Amino acid sequence: MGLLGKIDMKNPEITMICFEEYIDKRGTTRDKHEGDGDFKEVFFGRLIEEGSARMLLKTFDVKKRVYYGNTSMEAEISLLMANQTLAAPGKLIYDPFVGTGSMAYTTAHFGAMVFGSDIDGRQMRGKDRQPGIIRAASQYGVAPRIIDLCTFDITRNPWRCGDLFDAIITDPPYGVRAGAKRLGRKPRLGKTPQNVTVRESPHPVRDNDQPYIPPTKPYELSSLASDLVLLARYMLKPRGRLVFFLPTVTDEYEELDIQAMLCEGMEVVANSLQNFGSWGRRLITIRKSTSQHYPLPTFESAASKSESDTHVPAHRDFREKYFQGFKKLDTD
Amino acid sequence: MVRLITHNLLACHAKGCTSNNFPLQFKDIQIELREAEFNPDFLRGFIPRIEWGALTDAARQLGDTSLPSEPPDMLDDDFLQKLHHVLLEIHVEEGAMVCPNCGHVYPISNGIPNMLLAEHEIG
Ligand SMILES: C[S@@+](CC[C@H](N)C(=O)[O-])C[C@H]1O[C@@H](n2cnc3c(N)ncnc32)[C@H](O)[C@@H]1O
Ligand SMILES: [Zn+2]
Repeated sequence: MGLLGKIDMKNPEITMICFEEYIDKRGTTRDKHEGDGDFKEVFFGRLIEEGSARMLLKTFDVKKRVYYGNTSMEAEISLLMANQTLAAPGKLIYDPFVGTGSMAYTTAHFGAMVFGSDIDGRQMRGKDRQPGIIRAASQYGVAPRIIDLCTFDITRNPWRCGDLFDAIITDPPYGVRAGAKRLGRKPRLGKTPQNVTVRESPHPVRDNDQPYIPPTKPYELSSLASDLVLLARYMLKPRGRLVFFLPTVTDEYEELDIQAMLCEGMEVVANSLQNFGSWGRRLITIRKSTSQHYPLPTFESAASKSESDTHVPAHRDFREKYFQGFKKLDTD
Repeated sequence: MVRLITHNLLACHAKGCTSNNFPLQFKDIQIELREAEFNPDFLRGFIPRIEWGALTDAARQLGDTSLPSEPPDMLDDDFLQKLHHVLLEIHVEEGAMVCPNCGHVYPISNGIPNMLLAEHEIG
């Protein structure tokens, strides 16, 4: 190539770059390094310009954010999730477990308008008068795109109608950091021992803004996941997307776990694994493939289904499995 | 926050409260006006979802009478600007929303409405 200048790694005059082309594996799952080096072609050339996405990792760095919490999602993943929603100006996107709002910022960054709700108002507010999510959104210049934040339990939601959103983007609670919970009485001790779990309460201090905090009961992950798909079918516009994380047990996971939580009119677009060893989380993208109207889910169907259902997904009772270090549960 | 677009989408969901539970009535409110980005395509797409009467009533209650009593057939820029302002630029920061049917009070503080129900109100 006639490159005669001397190599200077610190202050190069030109930078050379190498690309590897792989077979498109979209729609299938693979491990992080699976197939590495197995490329079709290699391109070598001079770097002319870098993409604009790289620097967003720094922009959205959680540690530099004026408001975040122990449930905040890393910048890179929040950006990837926003990308999966096809966020763009004029779109309306919803996070029903918005917490400290990590994905609201990235989705709004791409121009979308965002609604957020959470059962725990303190997650969205933080300590100051102005809600934490609004303060962080202002830091990114997207506060006007945060349409509203509301406090409610998604299983007892006040939405007047469905077919509203272009996408739902969310990291549902799975009881490890932020307890998965819903309104209602806790199961009585002694009656159903396998359901009685000690919920962490990460926020011991009560906010004066919250005059009454109703009692909550645990929400099992596989029911939550099926409910979320049903809710998305109701709340999404046709062709709208549901993008969410599903934690699961690495060794026990099967493709069927995802298929089994679908309902009529909802199809999987993508499923990718972030592997942490014995467990991992899957970023699932599901599309509403129907323009039919469906009723608001009752949030009871999954619970009753789980008993008659023959397929037990690996993410069932994830919380319990997590705290038992993923040893096989005694099933009788 | 609590913009009128949101107000137009929320209904009372207390146990047994299934009729005349929308729109919620504003009470003792403080409002702020804040600019939002104008997106005519979004507005055109959103019009079919709006309960028009509820929107114009709420706007009137907050002192804005710019909207016609029926959405016009011709969605010109002038109309869309007015709709934009009503839907997205009026923020209810404090006060409450009250159910016209069962009287449930949903308080709003620092712009966030608390739509949680008490234990005896869940169906
Ligand atoms: C994993 S966190 C989401 C964190 C968020 N992505 C962030 O950036 O902070 C799950 C959230 O769901 C909320 N949550 C749990 N159960 C809920 C329910 N039934 N309805 C609504 N929100 C709920 C919790 O309060 C918590 O904030
Ligand atoms: Zn009511």
